[in-house]
This record gives sequence, C-alpha cells and structure tokens, in this order.
Amino acid sequence: MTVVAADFPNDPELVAAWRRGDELAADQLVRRHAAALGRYLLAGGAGSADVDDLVQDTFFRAFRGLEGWRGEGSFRGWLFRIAGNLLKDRFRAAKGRIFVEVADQDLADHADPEGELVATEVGQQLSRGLQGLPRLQREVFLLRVQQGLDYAEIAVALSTTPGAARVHYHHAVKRLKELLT
Amino acid sequence: MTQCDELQERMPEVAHGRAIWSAVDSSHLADCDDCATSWRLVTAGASLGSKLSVDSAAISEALRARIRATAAPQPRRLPWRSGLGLLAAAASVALFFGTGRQHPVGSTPVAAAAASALLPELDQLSEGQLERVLSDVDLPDELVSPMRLPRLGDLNEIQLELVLRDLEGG
Repeated sequence: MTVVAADFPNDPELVAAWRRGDELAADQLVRRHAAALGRYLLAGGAGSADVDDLVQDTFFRAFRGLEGWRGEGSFRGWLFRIAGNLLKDRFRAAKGRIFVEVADQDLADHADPEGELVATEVGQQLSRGLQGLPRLQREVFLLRVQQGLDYAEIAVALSTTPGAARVHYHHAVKRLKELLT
Repeated sequence: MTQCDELQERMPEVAHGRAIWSAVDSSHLADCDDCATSWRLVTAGASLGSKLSVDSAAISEALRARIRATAAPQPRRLPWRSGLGLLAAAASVALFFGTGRQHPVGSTPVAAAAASALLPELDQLSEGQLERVLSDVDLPDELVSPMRLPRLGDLNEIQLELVLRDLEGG
C-alpha cells in the first residue's frame, strides 16, 4: 500500500515522510507554515518583496538541515528560529538598514470610521516600534503575540528559557506601550 | 500577581481565540487605561501581516527544484584514480629526491627528465620510462602491492592521462 503525506497530519510524521523521500510531505509542510513564516518575516523587518524568497530560504535551510531538528520543540518553532537567523544575516549584510513597511491591516478600515484612526496609528506605531526593539525582544514579542506561541515554545525556538522569554516579552510590551501613550 | 498582570499575561491567548474575557475581565479592561493600552497593542500585534499573501505553491515548486539541484549526485572520483594519484605523487617525490642515489643526474632519460623539471615532464615519459621511475622508488608495500593498486603498465593511455591530471591537480 502506498503511503502518502495526507495520511500524516502531524509535523514530525510529515518530516519523517519527507526523509523517506515523500515530496508531498514537503509540500504539505510548506502549505502549513508558509503564511505564518511570511507574516513573521514581514513584521520582523523584511521587505514585502523579499518575503517569498526568505520563506523559501527558510524551508530550504530547514530541509537541508533536518538532522538539526530532533523534535524537542515544534517544527514551526524551529522554522521561526531559522527565519530569525536569516533576517539577522540580511540585516547584517545591509549594515543595519531595516525595512519598515506599513502592512495593509495597519491602514484604515473604511467600514469602521470610528476605529480607523486608532487602527492606523496603532499598526504604524507598532510596526516602527518593533524595529526599535532589541532583536530578542522583537522576536519574543512576535512569537508570543503575532504567532501565539507560549513561553516554553518560544524558549525552544530562541534557545533561551521560558523565564527569560517572559522577561523579554514584558520588556517589549512596556517599551511598545510607551509609544502608544 | 495583580489583576492587571494576570489579564495582560492572558492577552495573547484571548487574541488568538484560545481564551475569552469574563465579565469581570471586560469590566476591568474598560476601567484600566494601562490594560486597555496593552490590549490594543496585543490585538494590533496579533493581526500584523494578516493580509500578507504568500504563494506557497510557487514556494514549494521552487524549493523542490532547488533541493533536487543541490542533491544531484556529484561526479565521484573513481577509487582507483585516487590510488593512482597517490602512487604517481609518491613517484614524483621519489624522482626528485631518490633517483640521484642510484643514477647520476642526467645519466638516464628518467633522471634527466626529473632533473630538468618535475611534474610537467612526467607526461613526456613513455610507459616504459614510467615503469622505471616506479622501480626506482622505494614505496611502502601497501602502495605498490599488486593486490591493491593497478600497475602503471596495466593502464591505457586515457587512464595514464587521468593519473597525470591528478598529479598536476587538474
């Protein structure tokens, strides 16, 4: 009986299937995580024109180095770790220049005139404020707030402890709130 | 932990739909400016990039092509070529240092070739001359054992050419 990727809903099983040569498993992993990775990269400072390339690079590094992922953390967390390193490399190559973009959702929602200004202000201020944070604070904030990871997952993804991740998160929130008040 | 701390700690879970505010929580959010600001921040952060469109099909396709390209088998050196390269390198070293012991420089074609220049001259030697070079070399048994390595005389022209290219780093 032929075993196909669709039979394996979990990331570790898809990874195992990929290791056995099942290309559909790789497709499924990309479909599952590409959008979240793209959002993370964009909010982390990537230019929107670079996001697809960076997502591809992230998966490429992930698949080429699968022995580095032993399943102790989530596969998505591991992807975030690689994506963060890619962004760091990109920033270094650009000598610290960062790309701050105001994404669509930060712009006015015309169906909600009352909330229009707030949405615009908060989104723009947050996007800019994130780039002013130390890298670890920015990454922890995005993983916690944008991606919804808990501290234990963040700790594995960023090679830190849950306690340290929590401290970074609260520092980030404090600094970002100062921009909003 | 104050109510503010507790609420703010739960905000990401609520923003991602994994928890909800109770009536008490909602009342606190309405009255507490600090918590209200945190909540605005978290909800804005949770939706950052939510309208981004990522072409996962194109990414998958490009990724597969890239992985195939890098996983394509590299041309492998034949095992006998490595052995012969080593043998030829040893022979050329011996030419330089060893032939003088047994023959005065220039007294044989082999020694003359070695005296004038080392590697470039090897490809001018005939098969017989290469054999003589090897016979002059005190190589370890494991290198010259006929059970392990072919003798140069067993090689055809193409194989000898490969030996020489190996020697010259080509």
